[in-house]
Amino acid sequence: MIDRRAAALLFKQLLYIGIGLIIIFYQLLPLRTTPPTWVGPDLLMAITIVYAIRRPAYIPIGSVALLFLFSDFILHRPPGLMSLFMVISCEWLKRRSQHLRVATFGVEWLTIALVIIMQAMGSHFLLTLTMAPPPPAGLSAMQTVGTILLYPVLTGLAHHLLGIHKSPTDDDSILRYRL
Amino acid sequence: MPQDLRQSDEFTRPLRRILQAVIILCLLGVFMVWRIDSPRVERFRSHVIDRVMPSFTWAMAPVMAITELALNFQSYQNLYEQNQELRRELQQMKSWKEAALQLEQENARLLDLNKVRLDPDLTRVTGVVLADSGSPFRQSVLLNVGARDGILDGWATMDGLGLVGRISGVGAKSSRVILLTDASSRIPASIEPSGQSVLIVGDNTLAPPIDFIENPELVRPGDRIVSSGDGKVFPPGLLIGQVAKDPGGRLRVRLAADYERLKFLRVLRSKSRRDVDGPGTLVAPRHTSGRLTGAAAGVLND
Repeated sequence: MIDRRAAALLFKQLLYIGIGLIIIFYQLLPLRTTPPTWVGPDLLMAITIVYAIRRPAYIPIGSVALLFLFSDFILHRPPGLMSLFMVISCEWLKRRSQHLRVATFGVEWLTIALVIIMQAMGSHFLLTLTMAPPPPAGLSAMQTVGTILLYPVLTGLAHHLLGIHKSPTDDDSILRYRL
Repeated sequence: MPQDLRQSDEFTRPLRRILQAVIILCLLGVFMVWRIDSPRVERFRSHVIDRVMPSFTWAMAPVMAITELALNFQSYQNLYEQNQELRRELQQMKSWKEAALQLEQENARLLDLNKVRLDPDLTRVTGVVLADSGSPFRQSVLLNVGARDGILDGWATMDGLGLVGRISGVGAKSSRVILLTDASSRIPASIEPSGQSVLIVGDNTLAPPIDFIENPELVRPGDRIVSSGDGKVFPPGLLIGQVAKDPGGRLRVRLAADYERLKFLRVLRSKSRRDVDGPGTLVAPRHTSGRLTGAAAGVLND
């Protein structure tokens, strides 16, 4: 029995990586080569945060680190920067996913909003500190706000279409992130 | 069974903590190495892209086709207006064609008089755009030609009409072109007919601003901008675009290359090229005396 559950868990973990690779792949399509006047939300970041709160066991630290490091390299971002912040915030959120389970959605949303804003400010600070040119402030602020606004949409979709309700309880010990 | 799991928790918790710390430190290390030895990490990056991207292309073609079909479908709705507009433009084009033919004949006569021989070094390689940068903050495209086609860092890239960007990052089978619109792009250019040397500074907009104009009074909107060949960045005389004035009164370039559709790009081979093989060589002063030290020698002797 434990084998079957472990296999299911592994499948779900691989599914996350698959979703991530598809998102990166779609971003790479040369559909628009002119500079944008507006920036959409960071879908990969939003989905990862939804995972971290709703199904923390499906995104082990290794897959978050590798996926974001890969996207840093391939999307021509400063390597390691976004993956660093994503790993820190995912681990922080995973540890709190039990508390967020009993909290209202407003609290949950506020928490992830703070996390996303801290990430944007942190990477801006670190880039300035190491004298690397940070991305244009207006565009990255737009992306931050977009990602925060995308979060309720994604959780709503997960809730109504996929039936993923709350973070798993103590009883679903195999689903629960253990630390 | 849950008890077992909870007991194993006790043992794995410190291990997880250590794993977290190690991964976080590793990622921080990658970032710091990138800041310290950027060219090496960028070479690694182009190596990674070189490995991954060609295997993506088979999947990209159908997805691109479907997405473009959907985008084109929207434009069918105003087909009639477009048709009218095209007819009007065609009328204008006919008069321009006459002018161009006359100019071509005149140009041929003048070249003949001068016995000008065009630079045979300036041959080109044509590549197909594989992917864009994938991030809204970076303006670059990936070409399907690389080191095996003889592409080198720093070469100029054009579409049919004008300059598009500069090769930066070459893998074996792919190379990256930093577009003129990227925020890190700085291209020395000159404005015709006044002949002033300026710098085209990319700022992540479609019309990059013109910087370091000595005499703005001599520059008028509509003047041609060509690459100047200063600092051996590009061969001189490549068309970049026209001067335009934005509502704020700032002079910008209206680029000649069609950035909406970058599909086939020409990479110009050029001999006069400056290597960047270390972080120090970028800011090295040009010594007039014979003694050069370190990595700067490689750049200045070429």
